[in-house]
Amino acid sequence: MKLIKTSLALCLLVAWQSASAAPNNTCQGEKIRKSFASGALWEFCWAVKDQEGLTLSQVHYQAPGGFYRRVLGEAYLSQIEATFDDGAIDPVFVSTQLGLGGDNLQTLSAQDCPNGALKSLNGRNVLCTRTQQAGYLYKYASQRQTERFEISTTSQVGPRSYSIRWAFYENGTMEPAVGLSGILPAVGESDAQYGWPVGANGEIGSSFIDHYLWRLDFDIDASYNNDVVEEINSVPSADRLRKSKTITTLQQETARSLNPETKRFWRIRDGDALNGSVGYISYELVPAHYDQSKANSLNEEWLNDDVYFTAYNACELRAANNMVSGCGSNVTRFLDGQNLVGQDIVLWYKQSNHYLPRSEDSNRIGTRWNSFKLLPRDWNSSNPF
Amino acid sequence: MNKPFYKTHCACKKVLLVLLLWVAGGHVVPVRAAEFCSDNYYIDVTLPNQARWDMCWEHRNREGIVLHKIHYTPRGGVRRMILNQASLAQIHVPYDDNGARYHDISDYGLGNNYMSDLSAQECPSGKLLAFGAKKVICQQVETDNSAYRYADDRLLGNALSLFSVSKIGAYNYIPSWRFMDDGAIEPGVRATGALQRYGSGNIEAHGWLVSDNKVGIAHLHNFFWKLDFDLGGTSRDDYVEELDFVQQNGRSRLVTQRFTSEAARKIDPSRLRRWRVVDGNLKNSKGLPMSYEIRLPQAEYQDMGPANEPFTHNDFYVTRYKACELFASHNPGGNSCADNLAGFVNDENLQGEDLVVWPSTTFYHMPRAEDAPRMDAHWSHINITPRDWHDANPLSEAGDMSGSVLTNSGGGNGTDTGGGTDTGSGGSEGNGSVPAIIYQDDFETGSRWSLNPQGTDTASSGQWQAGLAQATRYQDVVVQLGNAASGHQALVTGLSAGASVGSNDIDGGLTSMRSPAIDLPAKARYTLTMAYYFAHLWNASRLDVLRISIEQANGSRHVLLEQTGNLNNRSAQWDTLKADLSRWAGKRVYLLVEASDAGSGSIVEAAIDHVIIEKIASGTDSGNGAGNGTGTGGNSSQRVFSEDFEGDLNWELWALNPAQNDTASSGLWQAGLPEATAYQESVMQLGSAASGHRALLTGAQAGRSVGSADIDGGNTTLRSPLINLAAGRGYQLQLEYYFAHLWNTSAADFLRISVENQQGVRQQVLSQVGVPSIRQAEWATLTVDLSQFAGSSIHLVLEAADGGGGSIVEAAVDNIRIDSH
Repeated sequence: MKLIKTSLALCLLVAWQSASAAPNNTCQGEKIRKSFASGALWEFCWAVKDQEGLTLSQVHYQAPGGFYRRVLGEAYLSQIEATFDDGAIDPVFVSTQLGLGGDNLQTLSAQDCPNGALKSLNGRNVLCTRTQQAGYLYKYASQRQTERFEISTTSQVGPRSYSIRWAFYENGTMEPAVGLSGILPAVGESDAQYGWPVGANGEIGSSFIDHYLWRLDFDIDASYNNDVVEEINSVPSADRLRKSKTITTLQQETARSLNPETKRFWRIRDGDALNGSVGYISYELVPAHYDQSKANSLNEEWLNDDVYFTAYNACELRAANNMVSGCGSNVTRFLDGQNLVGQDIVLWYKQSNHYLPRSEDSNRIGTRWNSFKLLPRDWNSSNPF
Repeated sequence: MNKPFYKTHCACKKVLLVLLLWVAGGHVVPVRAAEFCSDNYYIDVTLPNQARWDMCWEHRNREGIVLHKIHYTPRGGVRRMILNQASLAQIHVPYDDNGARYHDISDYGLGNNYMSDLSAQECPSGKLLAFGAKKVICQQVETDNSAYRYADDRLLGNALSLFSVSKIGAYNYIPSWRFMDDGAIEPGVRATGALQRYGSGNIEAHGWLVSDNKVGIAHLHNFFWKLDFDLGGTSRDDYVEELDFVQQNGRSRLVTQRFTSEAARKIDPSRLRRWRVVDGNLKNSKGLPMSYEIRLPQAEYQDMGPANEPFTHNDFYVTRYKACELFASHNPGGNSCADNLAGFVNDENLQGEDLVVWPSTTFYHMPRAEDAPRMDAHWSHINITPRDWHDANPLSEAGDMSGSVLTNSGGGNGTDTGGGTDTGSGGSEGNGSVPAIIYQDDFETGSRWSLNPQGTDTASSGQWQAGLAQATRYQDVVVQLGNAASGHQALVTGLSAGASVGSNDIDGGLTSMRSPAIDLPAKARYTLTMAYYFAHLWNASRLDVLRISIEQANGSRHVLLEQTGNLNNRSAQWDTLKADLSRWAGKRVYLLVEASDAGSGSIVEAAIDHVIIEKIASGTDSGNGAGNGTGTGGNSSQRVFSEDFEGDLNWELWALNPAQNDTASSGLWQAGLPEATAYQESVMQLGSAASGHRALLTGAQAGRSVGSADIDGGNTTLRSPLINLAAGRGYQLQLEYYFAHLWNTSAADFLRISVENQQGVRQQVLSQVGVPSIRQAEWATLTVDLSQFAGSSIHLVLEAADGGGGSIVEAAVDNIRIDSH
């Protein structure tokens, strides 16, 4: 039986390319502005690269009555690495070897974007923007409903369909997501222990893993190069009745991992700007999918940790298969001891999606989303709503 | 009556958990499965893509909204039960400074006064469902999620969403359920409100400085769900499997482990661990066991608490169903149940038992400045997704690609093979194997059945018809239902209501209808499941009949079900007939339904719906499932009603003071945890139930003195739900009770139990009257034969009275059960 996965491995989409110029204050592509009835405002630029597909730049948020401030200089899904559980073929770097942009980027119709607006690129509608109800903003003595603004694109890459979606909530929260659908990439190829029977005659659908490697270049507020990364741990006492918080400033480029034992999380804060009260303005990473986060059967160095923090370097575009001459080949090679305090910070976050086929996937894979959140922390002195 | 300040175990309400009865020893018995609750507590939503979810809901003081009998019908497919019961089972909130460790559900509760009355603004484009005067559930349909996408073939998906809001302290918890049109379920909880606890700057190590010298104290929300899966409606044939992937040498190898005894498990990110609940008998058309998978995608902040909170030490528990295992922690103590989840896992065998799974997830809340003065909602959820529940993606018409040669991976156009098997309801022939579903008819698209097949019919009106039925009632008696057991249409005797109740019922004799020919392949076993009802007014007789038979090609008949009329009112209520058809394997058969009104124009209506004949998986016993109540073991004895008072009573079904003439001022009947009451050496109220933890009591609390919560001032009356006793069988009622009083008692003090039919005719089955001496509380068993009520619908009426001058009287009832034989 012929396999779709073989065709995946065959073509190499991109040639080695040279580093592009620092984009730090540059709007790449077209600007989108979304203001809510409350006065909350999101503004950013969107563009499509042949490899990574949808990229955002100059992402700004303004709370009602608050300051208009930049959060991200540039943000995108930098690489999708696809592997099969049976290890029969080498990993495929979907973004660089096949590409989410170019012809793989799907043309959208109005029915793909109900109650929304389509935006075009080179004469094709490829981006859907829409505003969705999002339930309670809060409920206390009174309640308030909220909305989110979503943008999305879809790419068909061989058997797999990838949707990239960014949700911008009225209260400053962002939720980047990637949705997997399409058809099973390999059937009738693997032994039973590396998949699940899906065919009418018991053919095995190979199980597979997608690693989603996000690149988030934080440029908080006006100056992009005065940011600080803090790691927060809440260390349990010996009797486990109490937890004591420690805040550690990460001094130089580093690889870090989640740790449920200490409730570890990270925030990127501005070096100077306070929220009008006692807090530095910041965004924190709210991770997800820890339950599949240590998928790394090939022991690849860039999959060994959940997050990496680096100082901005224009040639460091992708967490794996970086494909830029004169630059490190993956995120672990970007860690070369540069200072992180008061710098232009790039956060690299990895999520893994292990897919074990079911009968339900034998004609179409039901869309499975992998997402995480970026949450304002002390961006305001109090709840602006 | 005294109400303690917190931890109340007060009068509670409960949906009657209907027992599923099974084919036993080749006998055919009716099973109640089609309708489990009154319309007010029934949610039945068909989503735009034609998937259907239906279920019952219940309000409980502790768990808040509890969902029951959750059924999913894939687009064009078979309606099957997923969950018998589902709810949150604890919200445990320990603070980092150890200043508080709340157990919000067991110690406060999501229901009763904590349950919020929702406004229309909170439920945009939705529907509010009321409990009494309070609107407690927002029901919405979410649209426009991506269901699937493959090149130009794409579909947007929808979900039924249900949520309620409970305010506990400064928090509003929002338990939510999303039911997707591909069969997936997403239980979740949002939390909003205000931070409950602040401190000053000197405890910054335990929280976050949100403003000058004000620290929001960090805390966890450990959310636990209790999910009683009864896949396919059978409670005792499910098993739970753990799926791990062992990573080695560039490969990830699947390793499964089936739990044979109770288990407490953690997620394992290096093994990509997940679990699934599998039905031991049901298989999809590819021969794969049907199952639901559970993943815990938000385990980043899973917490291992102190040694005395062992229920936090694991993420996923599998236990054997026990009525008294209610909460993940602070479970009501007692002899038969542990205090918390870790104790529930005590190595009990799971094989052939009713399983309950308890998944959990944790939200770690390190406050932010934005959390004051009001805190935006944060959101936690788990994933429950079908695995091999369907033959293929239930929302897609595309052919099965998993055996196809795939040559073109480019744009994806033209890769549909089109020649694959149909999705959905099955019925397509596999390669020599017998399909799981042999025959199915929901009467949704008219009828392929033939009317009057033998030319013997004599009825002048009310002939069998497939279609949309109209409700018919006479005073309070519903004789024809306006709904179908499944979908919208049913096969009914006279669809339209007509000008009056007597307009289109059966009159003048027999009406019969026969199914198309059904071929049952040899060397396999088969079950028939069919919904039906038979209803009549008091002027019916034994000549009025509903009969369902198997007819063979040679005309021979075997009666599967026969119900006859009597002089009582019998309301229309969907029941399920389940029969073993294995003896007809290798033969061609027909289903024959006959209804007659042979008497003098009495009001008789009948209907059938949702007929399915399924192949039983080879090598497994049929009919080995049992209800989730106590297995009675007798091979022909079936439980038709039971009430152990372990949950809250459902006041839509139970009625306190039904005749509005009760006079007692305290000590009214209530289900609760008994607290012992004694006067000197004499026990007036026992501290334990006859069965489980809770019982029906005249005032559950001990109160400040022995006289605090006993019955005073007159009588208190409680009436059970309507209980249908099918004709042609014998019935036995059993219950435990006590009646206790001091010496200052008179004949005006009594405990009385009666059986009442719908015409208000009441027959006493127990009468205990006070005498001027001390009678201590001691459980006794009452056994009564109810066979004379066969063929009618009855209530049990429980009365207790203190008619004298404030004497001390206590009464209790527990463990009511009615079995047929």
